Amino acid sequence: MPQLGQGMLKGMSVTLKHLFGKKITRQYPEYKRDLPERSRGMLTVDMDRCIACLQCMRVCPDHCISIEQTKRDADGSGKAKPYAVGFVIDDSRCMYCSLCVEVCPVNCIYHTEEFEAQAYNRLELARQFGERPVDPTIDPRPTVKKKPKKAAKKAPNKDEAA
Amino acid sequence: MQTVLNLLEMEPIRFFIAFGAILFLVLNLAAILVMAERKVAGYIQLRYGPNRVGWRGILQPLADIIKLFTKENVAPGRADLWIFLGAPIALFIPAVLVWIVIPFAPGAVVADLNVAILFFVGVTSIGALGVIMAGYGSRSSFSLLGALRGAAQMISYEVPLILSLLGIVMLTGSLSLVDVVNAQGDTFWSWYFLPQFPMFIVFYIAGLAEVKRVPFDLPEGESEIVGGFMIEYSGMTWALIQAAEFASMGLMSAITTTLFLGGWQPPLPFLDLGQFNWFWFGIKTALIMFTFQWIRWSMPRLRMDQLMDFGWKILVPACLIWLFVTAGVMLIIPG
Repeated sequence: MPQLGQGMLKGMSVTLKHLFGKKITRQYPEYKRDLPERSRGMLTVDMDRCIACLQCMRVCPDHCISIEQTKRDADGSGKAKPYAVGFVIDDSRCMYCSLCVEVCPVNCIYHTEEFEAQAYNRLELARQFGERPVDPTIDPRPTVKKKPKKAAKKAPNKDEAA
Repeated sequence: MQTVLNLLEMEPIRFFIAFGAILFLVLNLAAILVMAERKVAGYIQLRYGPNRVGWRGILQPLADIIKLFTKENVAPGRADLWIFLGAPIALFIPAVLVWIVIPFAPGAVVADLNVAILFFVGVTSIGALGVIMAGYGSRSSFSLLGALRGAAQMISYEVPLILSLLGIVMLTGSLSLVDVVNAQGDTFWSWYFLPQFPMFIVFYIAGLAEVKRVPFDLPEGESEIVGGFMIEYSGMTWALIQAAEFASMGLMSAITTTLFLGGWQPPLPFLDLGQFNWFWFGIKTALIMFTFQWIRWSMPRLRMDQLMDFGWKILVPACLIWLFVTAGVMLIIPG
């Protein structure tokens, strides 16, 4: 009997104390806390380093990266190499899994600390990086070369390697 | 000027103006209480609550109302549409109607009924009908469960609510709320909450259950039945139900103030403000409202069997016992 209602009174006193206590909310748009070191923000690409290997595009589970590839002698070596003329990252699809970052051989795609991905239109979230815009609405698929038959496959591969 | 005033004093005109004022008051009260609820919740949880719209979020209710007005009103395809749409009205009307018998200041009452307490009890029990209509009309399992819980709860707690009023009726010898307020003097120790203290507690708890607030919010029970009887409502119908909930919460505070805390009577004789005594009525009502909100953000919800046990095994016997005590004391000390 003596403890009847004591828990209630204790709880009510705690809430009353908090009612007049100092508030601990951080007012977000005015106050932005520092992000943790490995936080994954929106993706960005360093187009100068990109070698258009299309690995990020292939590994992306959401198909949010699409690259338009051509051959061009961009570094002045006299040899036409794969070059990404169009590069789009659709943030409305990205789930920040970081697979593209891990797979990139030249570390040219990486997370920024920018995380406020909002727009009035879904298409505004598709960010273009290349010199030519790529349609983000088309499901990006790496250009699949016609699969040669097994016997025929070996010979040209060997030639390329050599 | 005098003729105009006399014209406004004439009976049907006076009633219509006063009732319009009541409606205005209740709708605004609902909006303000929603705001207060969110602010109190925030402050109790060490947050700020809404503070973006206007100065310190003072215009937040306005933004809410505009948003709710522009929202589409969706009804379930298989809903019983007339009952579904009638339920918010059936919930809202009793919450407004009872305000007409509450005296706000000396002489400031819309209708001084001689059976005001009976009117209050009768009209508030229509609220249970609204809950059942909402739950049945939505044709959804969660709604029906919520409505059944609500009906059981509201009908059970009506009993201690009415019984706890009887002590005051016995002391006053009148069912009119104006008489009840006049019988309580202008000193706070002469108010009925002291001689009728157990009844005051019982009435407060039963009122809490009657307006379906925490810890008796089983009809809503958002963690179990995701919103109970109002789950299928959206837009203005939902807003009307919400307004009815908050208006009946305000109503229960006002009735508690009128019956037990002296209504518009000042706490001490020298604080008498004459015609402006509505100030004291407002202060007391606001305090009771605040305790409602305070309890809401401090207490866990009761289980259904605990709720029924509490109502029938504790509140009703306590009421009956104190009724006998009151009757005995009135026999021994006449007057």
